Amino acid sequence: MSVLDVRGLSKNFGSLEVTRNVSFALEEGARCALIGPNGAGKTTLLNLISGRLQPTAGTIRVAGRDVTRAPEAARVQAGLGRTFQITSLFRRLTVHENLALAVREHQGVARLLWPSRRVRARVDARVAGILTTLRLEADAQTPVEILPYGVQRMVELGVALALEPKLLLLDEPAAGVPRDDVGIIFDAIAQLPPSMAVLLIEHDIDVVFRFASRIAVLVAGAILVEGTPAEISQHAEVRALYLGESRHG
Amino acid sequence: MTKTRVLDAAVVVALVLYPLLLPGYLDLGTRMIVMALFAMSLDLLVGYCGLVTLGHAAFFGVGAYSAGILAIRASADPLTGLLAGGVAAAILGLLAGTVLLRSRRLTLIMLTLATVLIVQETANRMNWLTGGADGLQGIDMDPVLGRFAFDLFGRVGYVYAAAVLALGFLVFRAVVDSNFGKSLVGIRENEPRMRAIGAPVDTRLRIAFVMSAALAGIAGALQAQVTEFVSLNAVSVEFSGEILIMLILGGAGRRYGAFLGAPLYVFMQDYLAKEDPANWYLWIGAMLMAIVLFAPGGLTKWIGALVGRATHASPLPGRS
Ligand SMILES: Nc1ncnc2c1ncn2[C@@H]1O[C@H](COP(=O)(O)OP(=O)(O)OP(=O)(O)O)[C@@H](O)[C@H]1O
Ligand SMILES: [Mg+2]
Repeated sequence: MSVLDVRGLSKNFGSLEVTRNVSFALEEGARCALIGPNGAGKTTLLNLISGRLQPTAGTIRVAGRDVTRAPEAARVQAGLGRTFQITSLFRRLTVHENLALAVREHQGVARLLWPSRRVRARVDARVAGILTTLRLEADAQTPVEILPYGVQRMVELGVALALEPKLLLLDEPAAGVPRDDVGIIFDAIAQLPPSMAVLLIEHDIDVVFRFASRIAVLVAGAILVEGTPAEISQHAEVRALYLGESRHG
Repeated sequence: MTKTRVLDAAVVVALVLYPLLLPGYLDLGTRMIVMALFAMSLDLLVGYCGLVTLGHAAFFGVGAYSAGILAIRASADPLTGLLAGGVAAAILGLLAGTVLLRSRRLTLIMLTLATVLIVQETANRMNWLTGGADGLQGIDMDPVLGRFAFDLFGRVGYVYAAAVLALGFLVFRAVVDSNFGKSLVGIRENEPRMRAIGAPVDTRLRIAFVMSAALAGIAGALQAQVTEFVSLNAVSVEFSGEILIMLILGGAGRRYGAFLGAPLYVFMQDYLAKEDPANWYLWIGAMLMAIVLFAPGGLTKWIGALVGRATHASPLPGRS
């Protein structure tokens, strides 16, 4: 059973076709990259999968469950987690609280009016674990808005990891991060649990080739080609369309 | 944690000290208490959920009418009346919330405005039950707990109202400090991200809306009982606006905003209405403008920053 199974997915904004008949699947532990020029529809595809947008046609299955019409919460329950191209955090709250909000949802204790000491301790323990993994301990009590952007991107990743997803969708995790800090972010991504399926949108082709075992190329809303890095690097059209202009985004 | 505990205790101390220091102004104190309770209920929506409403008096008014009508027609027991007011407002909150919470921002404000107008007009039309424009008269409450009869000086009224406010604050405190309350703050700060981490945002907001409505209804019931009167003003747009002003004066989403804003507003209203009856609304407007311009975040934030500076600690970060 695939962790993610997308069939015939299409999305129109009025007369603009932004996603055209996209089909693909991800298996457990997959490391897949989605590349394509600016405006190709990568973020839109991710928004369709996560439920932020409703497709015009097609079906989406997460871990076997048809979630095509399901609200975002149901998809998270099925095992989906995502990050945003433009950082989307609880800016005035601390790093700890940002992570705790996600951990509480994941542990199913977010709606409690009288959380016991044990419940709170379990949340804190999990938050501490994520802080350690991402080396964010020092910033735990700092409001997110005053952190450097690179650190904010780590928190962005941490909030998604707090959900312990089976399927993680990463939309340009290092977008806008100063060059020197990009490495830390991709190191963290390289160390994600092996069983987690990861779909990475990324413009830096070196990062993509190091990370991915499969690459899909999206052009004008449709998948132009999908294959191993070796296959993709041989593909004439991709070279012309995309690899030629490697100073992208 | 300890700082909030000290301030929570300060609220209780203030409630106890007021009648000792100003025994001649118990009615004023009782009014402050009722408004503080009402503003606190509004804070749950405005301050913690980030939902601005100009129709909160709909719930206050329904609570007031329910308690008043119950007292006249069936049971004049105060606690039963409070319960009835809370339940009636909660039911209205459930209905209204289901419709209103599909919208946000300006649309939501307009819809809440429409809600209070509809409720007011309904109360007006049903004058055989509510007294219409003349107000609901003839309320005569039984003694509280069957023992403490309401007196002319308003002593029992004050203590009763203070006790209800203290209990209301306990509930409010528990809610905003709970996981549920924190998730509301998450929704206020970034609703799309809350959805993306799997929070059932609509359900959470609906529950908060009902809680807030119930608390407002209890405040309304309390007012009907201690003043033994309900007017159409209790379900008006003007009153909805006033309570919002009280909350903003004190500071929304900052736990104690209602306790500072409501008493200050009620005091100013009382003082200015005597000293300068023609212009008192101008003064209120000037005060509001001063707060918004010079102390955004309300008095709680301003005082917090002053104390922070005085003790050389860093000022309070953000809200909550
Ligand atoms: N809500 C919307 N309404 C109308 N058009 C939209 C909407 N969202 C995206 N688009 C359009 O859809 C196209 C694809 O946008 P999308 O953000 O998915 O591209 P992308 O591949 O993620 O680009 P980038 O690499 O710049 O992030 C663009 O032409 C964009 O203008
Ligand atoms: Mg994009």
